[in-house]
Amino acid sequence: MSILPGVVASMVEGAPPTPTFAISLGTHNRIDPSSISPSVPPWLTASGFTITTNAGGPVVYEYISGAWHVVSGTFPDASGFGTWTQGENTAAITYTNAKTETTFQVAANNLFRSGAPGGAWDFSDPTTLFQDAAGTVPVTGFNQPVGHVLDLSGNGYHLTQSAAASRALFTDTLPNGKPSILFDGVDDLLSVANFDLSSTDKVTVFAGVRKISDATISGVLGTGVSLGGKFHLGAPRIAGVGNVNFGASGLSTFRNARFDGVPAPFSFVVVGGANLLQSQVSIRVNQNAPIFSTGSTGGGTFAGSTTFTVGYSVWPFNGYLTSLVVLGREATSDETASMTAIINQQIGAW
Amino acid sequence: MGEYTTSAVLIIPTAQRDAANALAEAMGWGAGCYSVPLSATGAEPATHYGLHSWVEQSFVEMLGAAGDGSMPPDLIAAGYPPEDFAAVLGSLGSSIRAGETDPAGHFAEVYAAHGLALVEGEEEPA
Repeated sequence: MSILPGVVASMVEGAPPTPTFAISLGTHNRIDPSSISPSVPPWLTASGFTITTNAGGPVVYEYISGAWHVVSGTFPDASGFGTWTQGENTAAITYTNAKTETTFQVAANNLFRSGAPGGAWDFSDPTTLFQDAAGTVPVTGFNQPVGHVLDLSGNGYHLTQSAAASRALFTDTLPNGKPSILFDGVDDLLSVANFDLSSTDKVTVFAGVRKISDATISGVLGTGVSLGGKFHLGAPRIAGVGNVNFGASGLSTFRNARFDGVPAPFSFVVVGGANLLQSQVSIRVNQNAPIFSTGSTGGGTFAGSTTFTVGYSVWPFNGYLTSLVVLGREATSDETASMTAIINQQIGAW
Repeated sequence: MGEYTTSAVLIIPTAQRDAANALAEAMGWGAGCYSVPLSATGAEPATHYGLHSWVEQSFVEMLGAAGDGSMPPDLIAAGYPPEDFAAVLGSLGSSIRAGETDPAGHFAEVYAAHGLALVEGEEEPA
């Protein structure tokens, strides 16, 4: 049995007056509720609680649908989800035998907690999906349309689709049986207006993708392929050719980094990167070495008040998406490793 | 809401597009459902517009009843003009397919059967 010191928690928001308890979290981790003893108290299913440490916090958590979610708060260290030092505090209740698990939502929260622009969407998590554009009818099962997807970044870029015929489908038909959303390759798309990356000249895109067909050009996501700080992920970029492409533009030129030799059907975790100032555009597909395009983009920043589209509008995407991050800064190598591993658990690329 | 497991392709002449979009909106489908431009050669202007959607069994039954001239009660209650309903249904091309796993292929089959081709987008990937 491990005693997990270092954190004193106080109950808030209607929770019963129970004693304080201690939990221990490694960097970038959360508690897996199924691993702890005693079991999660039932009153936690609908309420939050606060963890306070000597070094920082408080951090408010909420236990929803079998998962812990960070509601608000500042973590005590700058490196991750929170690492507490033994002996900082005492605890009256101890969760024992706790193992830790990183979720997409936790990792996304970490990526954006410094205030970076962009958005993060988990299409595999039905608690973030709604059937209607207004976000009032939740997705409750497979084979239901998706008209609204919550942005997990905190920036409020919720994706929507008002036309019922153009809504992707929540499905379990990926080869690994994991949940995702399916775009029909005809007219399905999700979008958000006023997507603003104008404060940055760097972007990192993470996505879990399965392309079904290479028959036509397929725009997976992006803000367009014109000049002026746009970016685009295509799979494929060229009709009839098995490739994946990430491109971005500065003020003068759209640059593409293309990964060839991956005919559909093909599942992959893609990391697209663009640094307009240094004129470097890159794509990494699964565990392969990244491909770079280093010609000048013309500099500048990414566009502000543009429409960001998933599924694209001119060249419809034919395939699946499990999750997506558009981060308005360069991700660190640790962040990239963590997020790609999490997305691979969803898409099953390797 | 139930399961959306049936593949539906609907194609309407451009002249009926506004009425068809209004009909879809009156059915609660939202605005702008007929969004894919089509023409005989694939060149502009579009002579037809199409859509693909996953639909519930209730929609299949409604479409079948509409083919027999029955206007859905919800549309009657909403005050949708019966003459517009008849005009849209009279010019609507439709294909309903259960168990379809290739919606893009389904869509392509149907517009090709109508002698149509996709009007390609103007925005070329760079």
